Amino acid sequence: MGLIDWAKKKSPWICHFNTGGCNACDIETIAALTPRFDLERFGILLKGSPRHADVLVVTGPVTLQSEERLKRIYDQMVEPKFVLAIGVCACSGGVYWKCYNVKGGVDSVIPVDVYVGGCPPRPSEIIDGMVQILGKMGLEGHVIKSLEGLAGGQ
Amino acid sequence: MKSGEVARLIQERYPGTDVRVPRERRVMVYIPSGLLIEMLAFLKDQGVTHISTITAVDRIKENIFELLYHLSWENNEISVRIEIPRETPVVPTVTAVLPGALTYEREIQDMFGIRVDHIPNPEKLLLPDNWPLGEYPLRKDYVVK
Repeated sequence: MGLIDWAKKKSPWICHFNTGGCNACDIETIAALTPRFDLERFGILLKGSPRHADVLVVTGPVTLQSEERLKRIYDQMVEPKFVLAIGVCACSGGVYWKCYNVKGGVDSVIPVDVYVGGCPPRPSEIIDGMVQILGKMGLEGHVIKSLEGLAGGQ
Repeated sequence: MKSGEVARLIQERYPGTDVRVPRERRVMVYIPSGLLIEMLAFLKDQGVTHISTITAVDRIKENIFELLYHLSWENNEISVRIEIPRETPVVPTVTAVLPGALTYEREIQDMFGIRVDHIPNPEKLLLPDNWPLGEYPLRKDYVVK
């Protein structure tokens, strides 16, 4: 394992962006990060800038107003980058599908790696989505193993 | 002041006006659009000073927009209704009487394309910046793309 892989495994930092959701998915995301579930102990830290993040966590349907902003935030991230769509709104538009000011799901603007359904998804489901992202990163080992335990039996 | 008393005062001041009190604490007034500002000013003098919201109804079959100015006082509610033609949807601003109406006027301007004359701030309120001109999402003939 090279240095970069090692660093990636130890610190898959995330950046969170709400494209117009109702805040429920945001609360669950924060719940997954904070001590009850505590994703942060695996180095999954919430970062303020997309330039520091490996994973873009998107919640909410993409509105016409946030479409450009989402694109720009995605473009600011460095390769390799991954997108995690949290909640049914981010996956497909959800109940806002075909609303006059909604573009659709996140995948109508930027490529999405992992979808987490639910309205809102439980923190354990978000953790499961994170595990799949780590799998896509090509990571193996103790981080994924312990995360899978967390997602399965909370 | 009871709701029935307000209804009586309106009847006294504007005889022949259609005023209904369907139940306790609820008043409906149907007036021509020219009387709107005068009516709101009159109600304000009676102590009805709070505007809750303005709603619009697109009655496309009758070719009119209906506007309802919902005011409230002491747990009572009064709705002042006007009807305007759909081809020339223009109403005067009521912000001179009720400054709090500005947000609601901007909202119906966005959503229904009802032009509010002399509105202090005609900027868009709710629609996105890149919204196409001349499309009004809450009109019945609007088609979602």
